[in-house]
Amino acid sequence: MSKLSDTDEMWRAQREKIIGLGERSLRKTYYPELQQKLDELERFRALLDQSNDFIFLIQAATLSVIDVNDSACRQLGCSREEVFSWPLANSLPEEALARIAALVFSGHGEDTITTQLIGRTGTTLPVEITMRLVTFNKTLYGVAVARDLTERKRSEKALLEHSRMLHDMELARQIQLSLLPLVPPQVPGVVLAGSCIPATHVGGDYYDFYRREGDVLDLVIADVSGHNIGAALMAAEVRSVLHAEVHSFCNTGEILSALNEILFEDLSQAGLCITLAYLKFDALTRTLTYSNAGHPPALLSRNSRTPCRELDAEGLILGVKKEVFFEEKQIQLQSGDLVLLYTDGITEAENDVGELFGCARLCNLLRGMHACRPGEIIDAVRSKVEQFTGTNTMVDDVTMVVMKVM
Amino acid sequence: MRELDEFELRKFVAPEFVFGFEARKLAGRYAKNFGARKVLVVTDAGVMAAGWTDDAIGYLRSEGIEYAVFDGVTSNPKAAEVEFGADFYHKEGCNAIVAVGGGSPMDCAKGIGIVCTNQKSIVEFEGVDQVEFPIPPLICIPTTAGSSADVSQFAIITDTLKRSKFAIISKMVVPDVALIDPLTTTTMDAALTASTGVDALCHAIEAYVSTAHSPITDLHALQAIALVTSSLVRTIRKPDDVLLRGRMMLASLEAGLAFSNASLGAVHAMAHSLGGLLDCAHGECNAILLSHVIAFNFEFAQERYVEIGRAMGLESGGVAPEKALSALRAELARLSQAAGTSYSLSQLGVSRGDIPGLAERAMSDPCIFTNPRQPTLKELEAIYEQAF
Repeated sequence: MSKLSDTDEMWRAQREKIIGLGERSLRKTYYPELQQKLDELERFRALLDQSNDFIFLIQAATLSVIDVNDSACRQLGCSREEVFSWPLANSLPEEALARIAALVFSGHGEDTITTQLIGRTGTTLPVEITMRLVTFNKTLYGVAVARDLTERKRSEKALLEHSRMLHDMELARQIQLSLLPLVPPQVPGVVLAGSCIPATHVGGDYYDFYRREGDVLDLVIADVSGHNIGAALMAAEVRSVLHAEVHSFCNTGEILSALNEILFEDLSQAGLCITLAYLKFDALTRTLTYSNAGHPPALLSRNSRTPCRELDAEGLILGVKKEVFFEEKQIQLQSGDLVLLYTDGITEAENDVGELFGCARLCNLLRGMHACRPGEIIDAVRSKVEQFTGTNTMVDDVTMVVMKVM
Repeated sequence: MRELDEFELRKFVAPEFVFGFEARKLAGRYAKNFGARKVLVVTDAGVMAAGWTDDAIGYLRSEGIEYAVFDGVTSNPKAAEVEFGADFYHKEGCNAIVAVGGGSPMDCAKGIGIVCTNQKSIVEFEGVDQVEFPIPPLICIPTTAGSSADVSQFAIITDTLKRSKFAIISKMVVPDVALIDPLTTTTMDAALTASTGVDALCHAIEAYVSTAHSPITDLHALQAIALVTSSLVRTIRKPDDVLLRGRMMLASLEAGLAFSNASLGAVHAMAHSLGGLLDCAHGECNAILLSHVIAFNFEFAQERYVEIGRAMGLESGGVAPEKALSALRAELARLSQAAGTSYSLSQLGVSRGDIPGLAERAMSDPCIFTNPRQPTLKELEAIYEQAF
């Protein structure tokens, strides 16, 4: 056989193709394209089905549902096929249906309807329906997208409640602050200062002064367990009882016994307890009498050279037992003495490595402040504690009372 | 080898077609079944004037199908007409095409379909199997008995910039259905009847001698040759004889089925070249060239040409080859004379200076590749010379 020339080869190849033996010799078929479009459609449907919104395609002329996504079926409790034969009037309240009908009647635009979606079993769900009109192949349709409002309503409500509570708490804080002495009383021979900062809006700390006849002054500091509204209420109760009873007793031990007895029921019921230190200072004789119900003992600093002395006395925390004896001790104060009453919010303040501020640190601080006025001492202690913890938001209530003998 | 050649691989593609009186009335039903919403009706002024376009539109309307009419097709449809039609199709929002007319509207409709779905200029689809995406549903209602574009995988478009015709050959452009109603050909005048009839004859002869012919295409080709020979002249004389019109329509259909699958040869390659240059009737170009090409090809397909002669009613037993050739050419000349399509190239307005260009174009026309004899450029030039 003779070798084919290039022209022969080209002719042969062209002839093959014309005969229809070429790779792309294909009779018209829409199937590959159809398959591709179907795949695209399936993907798109999966996209819609993944949506949390309920999507309905509504034929405008009949107001009947002709397509839905999976979420909508699940919410209505129907299969897709069932949804198609389920009248829209069964799924929506009358007003919503009227709005949809009005939009369809107008023939253009969109509407947002806040309403309820009614499931097959009668369950209702608050929804916001956004409906738009679209025309496909000269037929008018409504695309309705219903969004579940449950979560939005819940968070709106929570937000409202929270702000209402904040408001209430702020009110409680104001009331609680107003229950503390506005300014310390004027007593000859001493200078006083007091401060109470609750860790949250309200706290369980409390301090007070009672002026008796003959330049006698009672000082009290208390810490109700917890620093919430319950502790605050109990602190208020302590105050009421003391205000009512303080003048019926002269001895600090008796006052605490009486206080314990009166509060015992309430404290046990509430599962609360109170630590409290009670001091009585006679300005004339400079004698200080004190009793303690499990509270951190008051600190006495005589001068900068000698260590502080803890003014402790025997006594049980209030609310543990109904009848309790409280020891009563006495000490003679002299000019220059500093007495600090505090709550454990100071000594138990923690730094970032878990170390406590502690009593020793507080004592040393107090010893170095004999030249300061009581108010300055309180500020200094607070700023030291803040420095120590590295924050100015305390985890516990912080209360101090300072008395300086002149 | 020859025995084995008989069963070389062959493919046969034909559209669904409905043949017979009033077939055209099914247009609406088919359009509906194809999912048509709005149909682009592609037609030309002559067919509009004859009333066939409105007739077809009536069937669409009765099925409630909308339509838009593009009647800007001229003979030897131009690339610009195709592009315009495709734009119009999109602008009107059509999704199916109905072609009403002869080869020109049907080829133009195929071109419009190609551009619509393939989104490229029509000139980029020249050649074999260049159409990637299927065209929209295409319904053809032929109104001439000759072109058979309604069943073929060919679309011939004229590139006016290059002053040449190019062929698009793709199974993708085979229409979805051909509604072949012989009644539509009754409005053709004698000249059109003649030139389209001779075109059908050329299709059949070239398909029969094509190197891509097959037993199936042979059957249709020979039947078409016999039908044209017996009916063409009589049809021209009795234009209202629907029976004769039917035979010519059948001849055209069978020639179409044959050439669409077996392809053509040098006559068509050279005629396309001529039509691109001069914008003259395709049938006339074919008629002028046929006899000369047969003379050139004869010894390469002698038995087949003898068989063609037999189909035309010529004596074949024991005739010497030269005798058979001259008898065939004489018979063709007689037919041409009787039909009134006897012209020469000079009469068409070709000048001798055009010949090298014409021959060069013909050499690259896809139809040339199935010619029984592989010609050189010089040989094609010589054939043009002879046809002067």
